[in-house]
Amino acid sequence: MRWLDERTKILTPVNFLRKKEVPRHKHAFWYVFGGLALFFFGVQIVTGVLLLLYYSPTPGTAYESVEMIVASVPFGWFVRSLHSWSSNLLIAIVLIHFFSVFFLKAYRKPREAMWLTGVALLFLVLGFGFTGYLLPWDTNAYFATQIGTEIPRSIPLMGEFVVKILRGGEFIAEESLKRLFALHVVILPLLAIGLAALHVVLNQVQGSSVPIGIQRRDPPIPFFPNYLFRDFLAWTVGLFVLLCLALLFPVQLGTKADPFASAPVGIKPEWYFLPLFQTLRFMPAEIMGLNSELVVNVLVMVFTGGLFLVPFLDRNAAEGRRSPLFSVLGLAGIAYFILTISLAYLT
Amino acid sequence: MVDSLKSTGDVLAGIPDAGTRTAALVICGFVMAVFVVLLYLRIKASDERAGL
Repeated sequence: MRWLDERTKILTPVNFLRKKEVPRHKHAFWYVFGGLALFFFGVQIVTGVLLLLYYSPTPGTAYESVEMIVASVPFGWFVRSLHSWSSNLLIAIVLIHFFSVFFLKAYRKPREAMWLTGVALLFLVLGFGFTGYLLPWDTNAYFATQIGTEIPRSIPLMGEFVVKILRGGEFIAEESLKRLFALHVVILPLLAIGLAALHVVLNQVQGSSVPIGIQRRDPPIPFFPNYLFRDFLAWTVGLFVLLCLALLFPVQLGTKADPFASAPVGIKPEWYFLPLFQTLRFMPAEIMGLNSELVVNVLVMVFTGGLFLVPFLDRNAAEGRRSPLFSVLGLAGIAYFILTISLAYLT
Repeated sequence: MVDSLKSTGDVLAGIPDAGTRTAALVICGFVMAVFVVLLYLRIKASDERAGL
């Protein structure tokens, strides 16, 4: 190891981690979700690469290749189930991490860059969900993507362009599958790995945030190895939950998509897109003479911009004071998320 | 291989029955429970060394 360190300085980051400490307080439990998100991202990469060995991204072979993975490749059904369930868990964990950072005001100075990379990662993770959904080329995947890629059309100036870029034509067809496949396995992973690395490095440099008003009485936990062991414990629990889901509820394949058939009745997107789906359902066709899809798209853009700007808008938190308004906004966000998902499942 | 891909129409083919999958889960659960206990002991020991 000394030989290697003399030539590569490989022990420098290890020595840095040995000095790093994690604060101890009553809200410290929420810190584990960042590491857990990283764990599930790793599961996605490993299982995704394994699926990539057999998947074939053309409309004539995509469904059949997934069918072959499930039926003929040893443990193929298991790897596909792990990939699918892990993507759902990853999004759930990222959302929990997002809300815990939001409520603990961990985005405040000097951690604005961590917040910006974190919000970008949240949208990238949702992008993975969207682009991966079409790949099995079954009926639900086909028509859900047809509906999902239609939503941006009403965005002023760039809507048509966005739809064309995503679909590669007017309808979901071979070009769309190739484009979403390229996004799913090359473009988004490159962006996500780069941003995740930056997010983790910023976390190591700035350390974990202590919530406003918390007095640090307990001695901090050394990151290496004490906190890392706690992370391993959380990862083991996460892995067990994933195994339970993948083994007890293996992901099945629907019927092969028929582009000339009509969309199945009551088709719904994945749970994490249900708030957007239900919002569109709530809306009348026109609001004050404007197309309701246009209104929702503008609202989504304003909401997205607002999320990125949270550390700069919350001046109280930036100066170390409590900011109940932002906590109320966060609670309202959670309530809307749960309400719309429940309504989408019940109606 | 891709040229020879043909749909069988059997959407459950290849997935083992529920009993086999449950047995696999029990074995995995047992191995992971042992791992968690050993990890917990390791955490205790390293916390003591760090004076926590």
